[in-house]
Amino acid sequence: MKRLSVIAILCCWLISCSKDAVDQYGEINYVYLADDSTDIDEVTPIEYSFAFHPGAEKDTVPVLIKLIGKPGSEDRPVALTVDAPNTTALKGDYQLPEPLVFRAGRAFDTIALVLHNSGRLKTGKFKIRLMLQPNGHFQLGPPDNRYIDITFSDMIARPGWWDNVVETNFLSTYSDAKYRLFIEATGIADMAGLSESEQRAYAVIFRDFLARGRENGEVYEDENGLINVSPNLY
Amino acid sequence: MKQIKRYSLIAVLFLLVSCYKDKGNYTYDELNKVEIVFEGGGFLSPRAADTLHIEPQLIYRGDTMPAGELTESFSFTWYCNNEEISTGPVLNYAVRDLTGLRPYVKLKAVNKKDESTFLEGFYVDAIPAYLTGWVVLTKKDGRSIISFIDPVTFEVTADFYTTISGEELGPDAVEVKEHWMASAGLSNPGNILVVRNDPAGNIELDGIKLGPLYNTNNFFLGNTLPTDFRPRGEFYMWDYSMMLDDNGNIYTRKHVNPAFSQSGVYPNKPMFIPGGVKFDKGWTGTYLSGQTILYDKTKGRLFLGSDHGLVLPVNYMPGPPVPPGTTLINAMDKEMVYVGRLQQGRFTSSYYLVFFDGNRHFAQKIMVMDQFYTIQALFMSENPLGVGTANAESVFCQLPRIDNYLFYSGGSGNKTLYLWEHGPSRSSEYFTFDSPIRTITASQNQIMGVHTHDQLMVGLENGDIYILGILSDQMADPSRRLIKKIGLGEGMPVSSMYKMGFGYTQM
Repeated sequence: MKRLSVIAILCCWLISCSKDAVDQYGEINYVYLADDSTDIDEVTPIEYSFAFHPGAEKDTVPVLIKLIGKPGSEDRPVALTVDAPNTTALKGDYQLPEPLVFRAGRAFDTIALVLHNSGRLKTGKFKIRLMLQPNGHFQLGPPDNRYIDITFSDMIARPGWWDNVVETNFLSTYSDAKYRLFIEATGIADMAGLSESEQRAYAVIFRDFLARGRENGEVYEDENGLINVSPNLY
Repeated sequence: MKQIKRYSLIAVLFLLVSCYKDKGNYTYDELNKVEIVFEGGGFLSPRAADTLHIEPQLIYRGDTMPAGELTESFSFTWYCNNEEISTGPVLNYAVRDLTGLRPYVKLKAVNKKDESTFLEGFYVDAIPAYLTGWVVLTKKDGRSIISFIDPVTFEVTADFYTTISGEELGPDAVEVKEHWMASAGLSNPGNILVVRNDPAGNIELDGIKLGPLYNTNNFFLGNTLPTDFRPRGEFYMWDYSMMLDDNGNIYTRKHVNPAFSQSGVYPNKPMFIPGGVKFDKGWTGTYLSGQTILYDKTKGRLFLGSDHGLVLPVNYMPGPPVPPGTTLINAMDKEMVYVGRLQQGRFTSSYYLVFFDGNRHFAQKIMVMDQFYTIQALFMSENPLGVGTANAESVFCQLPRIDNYLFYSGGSGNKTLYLWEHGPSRSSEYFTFDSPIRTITASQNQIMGVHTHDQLMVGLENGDIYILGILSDQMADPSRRLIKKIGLGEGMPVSSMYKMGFGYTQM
């Protein structure tokens, strides 16, 4: 009995040595999700806001899929499905291309996920979880890279770069409405890493956008009153 | 005990020796101190192309004598930054061969009799070859050509941009102008800005070597040019600069560091000017004023570009009404063809505005006061200018530092240069050429400690350049006016300037 117990424990140990990993490739091809074409393992959730793309009714988010194996000589179907239990978006909020294929001759490919804007997105964030499934052409790559979450909205928030310096010298008090107008005027949403001179130039473009609009009868107001740039901006 | 006595005896002997007194019985020769004197003092400023000719004086035994007369008594060696460059009492040495940024030249005189040595030296602040001089932009066979003319020797460095850079300016260069940095940059020479009316953008040339430094197209936000962008003018005002394009739009930038000739980025979208105003032309105010005059030809209005980045309309200041018949700067009924700046103060500076109604010219003098959010003009006078002599082809040159004098071209075939005196409203023929006049430029030099204008350069359609004297004696005597005729032969002049050198010359 005692000997049997020892054998049983040894078996368990041996079983635990079986690693859930990708076999060395030969005839089997694996696919997995990734962030970019050079990074090997990382896959981080995607955050998207229509607020940074003023006027867009829909937009395309590229989802990167990488191959472990030999690039095919012809397009091969890839199974990427929406994981309903972990998805809060409605079916009308997004659209996956059909058919989903991994194109011939490629070591990585992108799936164009189309997101649709709607009024609902102004007040809430919604999530889609896309999950890779094995099929006759591909097995699944590393377990951590088998799904990706895409959170999207039309919401906006004060960015880190709109700090006290930017507020005092260029853009004055932050508001969501002002930020949306700033993006519309300049075409950019991110001033992080820009020089002071570049920030000033964007602020001047915004100032002139407001003035030009007002001359044409536009009213620009937010919770602080009239939307204006900093009085220190020259 | 015996030992102690022996040591004590030795010590006493040393003590006694130390009492020996040096009676000092020497024979001295009288040392004749020599003082070396250079005529130019301790700082010389020759031109880079000059040859130094230094003949020092030696004050020796109470006499002041040229070093050349003391070669039997002394040997002479010259050093530049401690390297021997010559021997002999007189130094003849090319300035450009001196080494170092600010060479220190030293003379060592050694008395042959007693080997006594005497040293004296001076610093050489060489004036770079291209620091000051005339610059002419001409057009020939579809090429834009810039040439430099030495202000002393009138030696011509023709087509220097292509020679130095190995590139062509293209066919659309329209203006050359000098601009200076501010703050610490005032001690730098002004650079040359070449305005090119094409998408290739303006070029800034080094003020010393004349080589290209910057293309101002590279100073737009995100390196992205505005839509349909072709520069028509660029204006530098202390901390700010402004770009005017062919569509009449203005772009304003603040310099990150005003001591740099180019810093800061222009927005790549046009500045908003209320009422859809577009500008036809701009004129740089004086360096000191930090002002730029902008002209809205469509609406006949005068605007000011200020050195705090604003563009505002200029209106007459409240007060007594301007006389009836005056050309109103906020509702011009004539075309404004020229703005002559006057070198006056900061925030407040005067201008002569020249208007043309298709038949006659008028010169209006105003003082522009920049009050930050409003710009006001003090009306001073308006008079007909050059009646019967000025014409539609006339070009003008107001002397910035001599209010009374404005030169203009006119007469038959636009071949005659006239002097207009604002005070008495009097026109007089100054010089007549054999070809139509295309450009007129005044020099600025320091004469007896005062910055003033002593020469005029006139560029003719046939490619000839004339240098005329405009000092009082030359004005009084027509036979003394012509200083030099230069057959440049690089095509028709379209713009010219006098390169004045260091920024502080504009203060």
